[in-house]
Amino acid sequence: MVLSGYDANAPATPPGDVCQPFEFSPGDALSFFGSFSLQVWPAAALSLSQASGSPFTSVTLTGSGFDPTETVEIYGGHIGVPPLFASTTTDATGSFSVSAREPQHPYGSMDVYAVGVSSHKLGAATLSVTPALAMNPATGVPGGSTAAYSFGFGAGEAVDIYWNNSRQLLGTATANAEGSGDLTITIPANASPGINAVIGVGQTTSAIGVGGIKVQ
Amino acid sequence: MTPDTALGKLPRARSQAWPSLVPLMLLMVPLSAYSQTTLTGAMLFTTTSTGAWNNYSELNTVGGDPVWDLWLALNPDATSPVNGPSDAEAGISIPLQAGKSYKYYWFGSGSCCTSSDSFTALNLFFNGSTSTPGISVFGALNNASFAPDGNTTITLEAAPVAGSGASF
Repeated sequence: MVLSGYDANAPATPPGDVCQPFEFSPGDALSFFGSFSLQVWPAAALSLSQASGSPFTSVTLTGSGFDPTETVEIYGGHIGVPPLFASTTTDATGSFSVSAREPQHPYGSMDVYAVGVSSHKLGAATLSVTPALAMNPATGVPGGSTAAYSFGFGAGEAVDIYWNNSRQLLGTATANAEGSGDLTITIPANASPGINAVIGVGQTTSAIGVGGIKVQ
Repeated sequence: MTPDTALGKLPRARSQAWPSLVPLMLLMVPLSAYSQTTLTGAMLFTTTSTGAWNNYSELNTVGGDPVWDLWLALNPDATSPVNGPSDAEAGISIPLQAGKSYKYYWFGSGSCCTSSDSFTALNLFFNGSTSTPGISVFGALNNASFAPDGNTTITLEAAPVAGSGASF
């Protein structure tokens, strides 16, 4: 069973003069409203090679109970909403195993759905999305600049980017709806040669992502 | 409670290719082979932007308790109610069949949300459970997008409990 829709609206201005028979006890009058949708699917099975990971991490997805040699489309987040996590074909026993990169998604739980295109069977699992930072270029010199890409933070949240040693704030990135963002940073003049850590701290979720850069 | 849509019509990306397969699918799937699930409770409450219960407003499908009632209907003008209209009739017991989809409209009263916490969450309870939500989601007000809620939510009796962290 899948909750395929949910919305809440306030202040309530529903169509017409509705709900008058209802007893809004101990409240007063209708003040908010919404809807939800449920779908009940014939069941298949889906499992993941790991319980958590950052976007672009390679994950192995294993499924069974589908029809033989059918196409299975795998979504991260909501059924039918692109981008696809993966697409594969089952073997003669209705099973599959496929590796794919975790799609961009905000911090927290991500539902993963495998849908048999012809059988309409559904396998489901959850993956906890964790934050990460990636630098491009991943090498630089003191005083030089690079781009810090943040992934897996909260949707729309501010992400403070720090140089780890010595700790100093480099700037603040803003995550998009998928929890991703970017910021051009300046490598501190006193940065030590070698691998240095750069840390992103989500200001709403308090999620922490770490990346590295090689200072030459 | 009437299923409003055949399952095969729902996936957005495949909606053009599936409808013709629906009659065949229904013939081939022995529905009696699936154990039936019954939706027996719903709790709607306000949360922070990360889905954490903020103890500001709660609505449930339980009669005789101090929590405000959550009214369900099959249509947006509530002319086909599922529960109510009295507090004593707030409970629900909705069998859900494999291969079907269902849509419910809900209505509530109460102090909903502050400007800084304009988020709500929905916990659904199945097969008589009142303490462990089977499905937990949350989303911003006046917005159709939602996400699984694995943060602190509440039971059907409004006690703190971890959300299911999944919408299935």
